[in-house]
Amino acid sequence: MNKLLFVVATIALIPVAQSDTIKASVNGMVCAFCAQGIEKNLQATGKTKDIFVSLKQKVVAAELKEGEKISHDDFKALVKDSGYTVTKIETVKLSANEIRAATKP
Amino acid sequence: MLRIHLFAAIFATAFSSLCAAAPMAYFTGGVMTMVETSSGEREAGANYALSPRDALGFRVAWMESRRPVSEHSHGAALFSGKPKHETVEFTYTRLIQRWNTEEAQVNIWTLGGLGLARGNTFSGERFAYSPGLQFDVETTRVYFSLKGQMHRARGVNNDMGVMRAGFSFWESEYDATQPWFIIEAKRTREFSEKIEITPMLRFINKQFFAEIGIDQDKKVKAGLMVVFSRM
Repeated sequence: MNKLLFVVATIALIPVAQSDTIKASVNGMVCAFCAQGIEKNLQATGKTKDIFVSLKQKVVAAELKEGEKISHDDFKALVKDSGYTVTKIETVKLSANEIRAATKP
Repeated sequence: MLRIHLFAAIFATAFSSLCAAAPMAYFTGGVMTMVETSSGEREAGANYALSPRDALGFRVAWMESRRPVSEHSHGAALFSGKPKHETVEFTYTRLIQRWNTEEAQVNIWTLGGLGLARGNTFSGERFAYSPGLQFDVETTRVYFSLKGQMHRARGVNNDMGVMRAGFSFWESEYDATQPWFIIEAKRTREFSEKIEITPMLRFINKQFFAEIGIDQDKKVKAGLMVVFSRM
């Protein structure tokens, strides 16, 4: 019984692998077509699991598939090629959905 | 025959599930489709984004002048009535320059087409061309644009100037419908003697863009754009 409890407790304490999410503040993103363009260009990399775009917050968050990487420079270049400008970028341990939920009033 | 093709193209563009709306998709491989109708004008078009900055497509347009004309040569009447023209063109749209700020986007576009025109003021088909330039400024709440475009063929000059300005009633997220109030002022040579003023409501939701308005002659003007993607 004690062994079983130990195994259960050990499994519970193993950190759940969480995907990286690149979160960027983007200038010039003012319309739905702009947001759609950035979303589709990021999706085209095949490395994203979920993408969140907020026109109000001027934020783009791309949650990466497990094991996939996009460097900050590549992300900035991708957004620039789409016609917009990244002003701030970071990698966070939150899902795109969590960022989405956090921006809702 | 050209008219049959014209209406077929409008129908196909409006209802084909393979197409979408414009001036272009902002991602490579995106397809933009649009239809627009107003008193004396019908237009449909589609383009394919070669990159997020340029697109290749086609445009079909029908125009009937609001102003009757009479043309004479040596006392003999050559034409009398309202000029009508139909045009089919291959088009190219390119973003020349964009400036981004935290709150706004400023763009300069070039657009144009090469094709054929047919009309009741001449016989046969004539080479048509339509180079143009557009400047626009947009925030999430305010919109302003100026467009000048030539629409020419031998004996035809439907050059137009369009100014659009407006505001959105509220700021919206990408997946919500955003309503706008837009006023359009448009002048088309050999089409109308006055500047057409049309207050319009515009609705944008994700890849859908719809406008409807009524001009000063109480004629309805409406447009729809949809952007499609394979992803």
